Amino acid sequence: MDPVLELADVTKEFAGDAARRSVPHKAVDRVSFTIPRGAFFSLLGPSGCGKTTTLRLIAGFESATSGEIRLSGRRVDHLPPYRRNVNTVFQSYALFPHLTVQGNIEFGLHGERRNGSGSPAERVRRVLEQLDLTGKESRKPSQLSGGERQRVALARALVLSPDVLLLDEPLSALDPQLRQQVRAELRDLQRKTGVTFLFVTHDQDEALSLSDTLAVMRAGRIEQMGPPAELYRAPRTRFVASFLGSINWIGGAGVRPEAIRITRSASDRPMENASLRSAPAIVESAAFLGPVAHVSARLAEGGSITVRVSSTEGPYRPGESVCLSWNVADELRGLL
Amino acid sequence: MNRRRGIDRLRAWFLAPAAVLMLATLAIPLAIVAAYSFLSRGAYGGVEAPWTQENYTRLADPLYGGIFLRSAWISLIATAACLALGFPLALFIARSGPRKNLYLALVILPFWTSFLIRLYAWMFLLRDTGLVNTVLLSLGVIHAPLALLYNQGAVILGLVYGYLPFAVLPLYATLERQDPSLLDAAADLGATPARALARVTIPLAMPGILAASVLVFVPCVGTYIVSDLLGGSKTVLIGNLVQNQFTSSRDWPFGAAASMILIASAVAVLLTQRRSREELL
Repeated sequence: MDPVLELADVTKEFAGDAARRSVPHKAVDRVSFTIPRGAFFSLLGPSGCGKTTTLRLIAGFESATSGEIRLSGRRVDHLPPYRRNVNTVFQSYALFPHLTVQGNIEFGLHGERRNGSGSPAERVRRVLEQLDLTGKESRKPSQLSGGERQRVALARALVLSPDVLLLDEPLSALDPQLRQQVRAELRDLQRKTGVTFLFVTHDQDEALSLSDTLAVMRAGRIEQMGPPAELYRAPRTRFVASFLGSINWIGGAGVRPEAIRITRSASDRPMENASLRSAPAIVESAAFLGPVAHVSARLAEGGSITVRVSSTEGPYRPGESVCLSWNVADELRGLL
Repeated sequence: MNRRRGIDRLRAWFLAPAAVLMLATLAIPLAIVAAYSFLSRGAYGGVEAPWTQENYTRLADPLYGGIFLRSAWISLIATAACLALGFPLALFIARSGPRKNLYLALVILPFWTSFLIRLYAWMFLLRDTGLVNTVLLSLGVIHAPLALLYNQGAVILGLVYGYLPFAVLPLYATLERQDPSLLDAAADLGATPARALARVTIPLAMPGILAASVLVFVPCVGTYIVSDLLGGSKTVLIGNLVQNQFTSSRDWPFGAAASMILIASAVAVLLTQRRSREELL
């Protein structure tokens, strides 16, 4: 593994401000991770968990209270942002409103950092093509659609061939339909360019579908890190389990909604044995979501359970008696 | 339908006092000045028939052309100085977080005292027996008082002092509105702070720079108090020319013609500013 970005015990403490009634707090608390070159790495967590601050520490907009940040093996934590070979796609894109698409993309080519190969004109042409922006060079950002703006923000950063591209919730400003499409394009772009992506998001679907490696953050710390499937199937904590998808808590064990089956009548009730559990329940409500439906049911012994079924099943009506069953193997046990 | 007409009528009533005031104190006096500028000089001041264009023809004299040019030149220097001093100050205020309201108040504070009194204060500072010369003399830095007052430099100093807030306020307004993430983006793309200032902050502040220039330049061109008090008799500007015609020279029509030219040039500057602002946006 060729590590491109290494964080070692990085901590960022914000001083309290009496005027704003804020107390000192650690936004990032001893965060360590290593990203191999060419990987798609995601930081996932709720707002305020420190993921954006981590990104700003890597970009250099904030300086770490302690810890080390290495980029391609070189310590960068004391360098100003304009001397670090990373680029950021901002949540709001932060395109320069007075410059054209061309001007925005060329901005960095005349700056402090000269990286990559080819003449500036050639590099601009290549990145315009890669991001399907050819023909829009002379537009101003205000004349572009949301999706186009996002592609300009990507182009402006990628044209500098950064060691790592930092993406701060780049999809959150797009409307939901476009988001799905752009998500796929983003993954393609990462594979095509081979640039290491560090992607910050609070959207579990984005993180699960895009990442090679995923780190879930909570209150400034990394709660768990690994391939998406591993985190989903074997979460170490209740927080990770419930943040990555939804989960039902039955007698201390977690069961994913899609791991539960519904059967209609008592006669169909599956035989309970060592590998299968079942419980009677009453349907409370059902939400139709197209391909699937979420059925919410109350267990006879108490507790509400959400079950994800194919929408070809059912429909289940409120008040209906059903039987829920799941494999013991699908229970998540021993979560912290 | 009725409701709409009622609102229109109400709006007319509310606007009426301002409209009457503007008519009585601006439109009518302006029309009178315009009319006077085409009349002949009265024997004891005032104006007389017949109608004439002679007042404007006289203004073409190189003597008056020189006064106009000097006014424009001094105002240009004062405007440039106000921008050069005002921009860093406005930038500093816009980026000083919660204390910016205090700093803004300090910029506006001098307006609480009459401009005339503040100019007298400058006279006390700059005259031969003033504070500056006294201190320098007693320190032995100089052996004879410096001629700080009654010259062009003193006029420019007075103009810059008086109109600096008019530059700072519009500059502050545009700078304060700028999205701080654009500076992050510039640094992220490899721009040093100096380059970010030149390529992002200043270009985006152009509307404010234009507004500041006009707000300083236009009153500077028309000033007469500053040149009268700080310039002595040596620095005659258009404002002093106009004033002289109505007081000592008693040539009202000629003074009116000079005022009309002054107003016309101010309007021209404003229109140019508006056009270039539209191009910027």
